[in-house]
Amino acid sequence: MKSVVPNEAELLHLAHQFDRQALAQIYDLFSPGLFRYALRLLGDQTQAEECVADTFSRFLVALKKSKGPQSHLQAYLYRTAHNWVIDSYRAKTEIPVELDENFAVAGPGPEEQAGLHIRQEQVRCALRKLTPDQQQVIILKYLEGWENEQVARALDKPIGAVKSLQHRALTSLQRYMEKE
Amino acid sequence: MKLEQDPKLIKAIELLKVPADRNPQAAARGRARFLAQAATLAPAVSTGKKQRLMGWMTVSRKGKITMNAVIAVVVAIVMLLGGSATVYAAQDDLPTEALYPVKIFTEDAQLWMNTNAEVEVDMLMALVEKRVQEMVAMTALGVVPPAEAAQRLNLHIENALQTAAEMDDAAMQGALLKIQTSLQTQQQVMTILQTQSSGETSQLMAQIQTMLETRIRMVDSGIVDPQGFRNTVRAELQPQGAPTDAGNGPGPQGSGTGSGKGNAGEGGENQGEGGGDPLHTPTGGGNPDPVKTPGPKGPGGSGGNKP
Repeated sequence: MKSVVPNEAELLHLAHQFDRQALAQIYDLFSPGLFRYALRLLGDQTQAEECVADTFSRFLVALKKSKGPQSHLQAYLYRTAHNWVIDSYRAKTEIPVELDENFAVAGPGPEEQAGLHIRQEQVRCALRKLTPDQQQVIILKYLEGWENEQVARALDKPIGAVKSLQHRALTSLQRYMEKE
Repeated sequence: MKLEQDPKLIKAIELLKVPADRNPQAAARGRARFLAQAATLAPAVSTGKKQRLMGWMTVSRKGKITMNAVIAVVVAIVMLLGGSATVYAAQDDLPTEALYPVKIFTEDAQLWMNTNAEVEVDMLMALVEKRVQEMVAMTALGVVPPAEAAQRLNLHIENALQTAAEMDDAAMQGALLKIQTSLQTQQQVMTILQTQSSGETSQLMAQIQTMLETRIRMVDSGIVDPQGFRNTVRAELQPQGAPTDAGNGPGPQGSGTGSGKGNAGEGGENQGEGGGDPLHTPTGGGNPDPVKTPGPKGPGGSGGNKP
């Protein structure tokens, strides 16, 4: 599979040497996607930022211990972020939610917004009932638009297993959503 | 129909595909933290030791090295002459007490002997905390903290900001995060102190609060925009006409003389020229900084910046 980063090997090599520019480039490349990914799973901006921060922090610690990824950086980061999300579900810590200053400026009216928010929360709840791997397949495949091969890298599983996970995930998701 | 193609199910999943508008400030803060952590974890490449070993032959960062030897000798002589007990005894003194100038002298000497910018920021923030604790103690004793105490607090913060502004982006962001945390803590202490005080003390606390707020805002924006921060520091904190490369060498007029009103008898507190506002920081003329800007004679030189 072709890497999503044009010069990934070189970038990773420099990152292992704590080259500031390379690390900044990695952050700029992946943090928006990781934030979006975390936000979709968590539904909360503050927690999503926290997830991104911790993901990159763990990445640095891994580099320091010479245990960082040697390839497939994107898959590594998403895997780390996903582990963080799962841990946060387990911990069930209530992180205070910051008020969104732009809330009132958004397009649809309050009723529509509330309706959308409820439906999103229903899907999110159903999604959380899936196993961590199933969740990751659904998010990466249907929301991030990744190919099966990329998802397989992130989950560290063969493509066949990913396809099977996807099918089971959709079946379960449909069942859970019917119950909601 | 295959589940993978069930439009109802796919549409439901895609409800989560809403645009994820990220707060740009939060994103910038996250980036700054990441780079600051990277700077902390990066293998140390220190030139400090090397500079120390080269002693007189090298002009260090801020040209401090040669002066360090002088100060070390002076401090050693003072200690040998029985000053160590005095220095020790002075450490708990408050600004209104007799040995306070000795305490200030030792602090300044310690700052002078340090050549590492990051350590300097840590030391200065420790001094900020010390100054605030002195005010807490004085208020508890029913003593109005003198304006000089507030001025010195302000100077420590300004020095820390100037030192941070001389660092590269990553190191600066790390230093600013530390300063930010420290200032926010001191601001909380000041808030409590203000509610518990009245009259002159309350007025002074209000001025300090305002100063802290201004500095915290400066730090906040510096974390997001390092170059903008350097420009602000240059415009607001550095004396006009001062050299900007080394930043701390004697200026054309022998900066380090402060406003010329530094009072050696009070441990080098600079009175500034601000009149009623003890926290007024003159932007022109000599640098009121007792530590960072040696006069032509170095520490203890003209201007009474050192006792």
